[in-house]
Amino acid sequence: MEVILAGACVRFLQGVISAAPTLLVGLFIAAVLRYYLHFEGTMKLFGGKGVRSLVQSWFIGMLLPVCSIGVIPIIRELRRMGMRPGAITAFALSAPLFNPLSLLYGLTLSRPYVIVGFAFGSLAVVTILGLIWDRYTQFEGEPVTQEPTPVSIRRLGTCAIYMLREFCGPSGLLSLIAMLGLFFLAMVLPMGALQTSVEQTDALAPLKMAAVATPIYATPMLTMSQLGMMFTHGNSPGAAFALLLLGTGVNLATLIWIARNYGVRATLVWFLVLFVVVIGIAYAIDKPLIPPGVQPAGHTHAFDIYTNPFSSGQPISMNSLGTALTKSDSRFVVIATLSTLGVLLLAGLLLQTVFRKPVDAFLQNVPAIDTIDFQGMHRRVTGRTVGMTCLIGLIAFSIVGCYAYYYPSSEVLEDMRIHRGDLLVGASSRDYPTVINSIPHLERLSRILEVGYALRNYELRPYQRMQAHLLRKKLELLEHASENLLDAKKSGEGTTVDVEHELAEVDQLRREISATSSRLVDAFSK
Amino acid sequence: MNHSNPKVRLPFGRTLTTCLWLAVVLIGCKNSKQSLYEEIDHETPAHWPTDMMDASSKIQSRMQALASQPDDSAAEAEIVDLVNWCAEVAADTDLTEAQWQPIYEQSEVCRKRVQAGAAIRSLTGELTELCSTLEAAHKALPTKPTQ
Repeated sequence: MEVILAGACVRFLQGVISAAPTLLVGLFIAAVLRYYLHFEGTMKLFGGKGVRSLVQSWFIGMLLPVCSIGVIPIIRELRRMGMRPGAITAFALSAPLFNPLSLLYGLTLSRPYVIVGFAFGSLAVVTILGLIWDRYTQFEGEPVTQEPTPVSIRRLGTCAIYMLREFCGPSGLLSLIAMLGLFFLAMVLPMGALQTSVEQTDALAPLKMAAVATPIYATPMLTMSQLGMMFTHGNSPGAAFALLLLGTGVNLATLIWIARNYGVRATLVWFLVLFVVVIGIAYAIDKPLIPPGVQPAGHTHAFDIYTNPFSSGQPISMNSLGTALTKSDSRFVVIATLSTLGVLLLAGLLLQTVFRKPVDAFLQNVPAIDTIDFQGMHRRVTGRTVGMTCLIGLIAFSIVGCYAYYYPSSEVLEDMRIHRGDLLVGASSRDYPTVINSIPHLERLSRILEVGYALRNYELRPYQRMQAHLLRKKLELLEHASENLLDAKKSGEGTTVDVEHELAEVDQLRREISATSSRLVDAFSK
Repeated sequence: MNHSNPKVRLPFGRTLTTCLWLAVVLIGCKNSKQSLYEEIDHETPAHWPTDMMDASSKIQSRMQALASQPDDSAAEAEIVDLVNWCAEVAADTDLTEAQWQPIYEQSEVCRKRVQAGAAIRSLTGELTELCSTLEAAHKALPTKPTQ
């Protein structure tokens, strides 16, 4: 029981840490929509009330850097403004699927048209779903009241208060509900329980993945890396599609929010249609997209993140909890994120309790615009201009973020050199945990190398792609050989692993990785 | 400020049909198998070539088999595999990028023709050219010092 609860808490906290940045971005966007773009501007941005709004909402969702938690404050605001339900769900589903960062990462996982095809596939799903949902809910616009909005610094203050109140109010609560999906899954699924559940030979793989994916919360980048691992392990393509749509697009909070706003019966219809469309497409692509000749690995570690991080009987201590928590994020990120959330929570609680009266008085006191003195740099501009500037700034910021995440090749190659050193020394000294630990870093860096180079040079030569592919292939084979040797060590005399053969393979791969790395450096240094 | 939203009527059937058509075109119902994967074989297939000379000789032997027995589908499938693997096998040697590029380009010519539905038997010229390029590249490899 101790292991189950400790593991569930670790997964819950990991979810909170992953969601924090995009929740804050979502709150910011919701504030901009409410206080800057207002009703007319928002309707224009999201395509108004017609069918076009479904496609436009999908497109806006692709551009904004939010996940399925970050969309919560935005869809709350869109609902308040009376936007059509189909467009709201189109945005809620598509915004978390891709963002500029994850789309670029996705392009290195497979041939570009496959990822672009997945993106347009999601457009088809949200449009079909939106049309059916609009028809079922018999949407009729309701009158929307636009509250008076202050301008200038006072408007910034109003936005900050709105964001803090939402953070400590409905949006924050819904985010915690979303995390409960991770909590319960970690309680139910023991360590490594999903390693063999999505094999391409398993006819039920898309269904199993759909069942697991619905309650989980996953960021777009996490899903992209999981798709990558599924591709390299020869898992079911249909299961990958189900993971993308249901894992990234939906979580428990989305379902609860829709049920509260549109009724349980309507939500069941919505979810059933979504589930049937996703499963239908998943089974349609499952067999045609299995490549001829690729041997499945028989297992994958891509979904270990949703199972309990502790094995049965493992002693639980503060140290083991800390180690599990910092496995996916650095200690600095964990501490900085939790501290920031703590400060925001405290500020929000103070606003709701101690400072409630003065804050309400501040919000109600909206000076007439004619009484404000506009001079010098303090110019009078429309709210829509400021709002659009904020949103364009956010998109520009995510483009800058792409350049920061996909940093220059010379620096990536230097980081790869360090991890490669650990890997090769580990392989020589038979230190397999070090080898297994270094491999994901090198795989991730090899993808960052490709995207970073393409972003800066507007090209990625076939030779460069091929050398990066060769490196990942050898790393993958080395990982399997190392895992087999670790298993053999654990099993002792009764092992079925051919240790001599695996040792020879490790030595061979060590030499090959060294040679491939040297070619990779040459290819990307030119 | 009040904004009344008029009831919206959609061309439902037409739009839904268009979306379903779009979904089918984009996602499914393709005749040829398309690789979704960054293809990593966890077990090396029996006809995986050990080097560029081996790749060339395996392609030639399958072409001969196909010439004597035109309905040899196994030989056809193996030629397709070998064409797909050529660039990777060549990239895993000490060839420079400039030396590797012609092999990649020639294998792409063959791969695209196969993808366009061309019969393997009609690709004799392209495959022979690929084999010659592989052999020339192999000969250009720097000789490794004997251990």
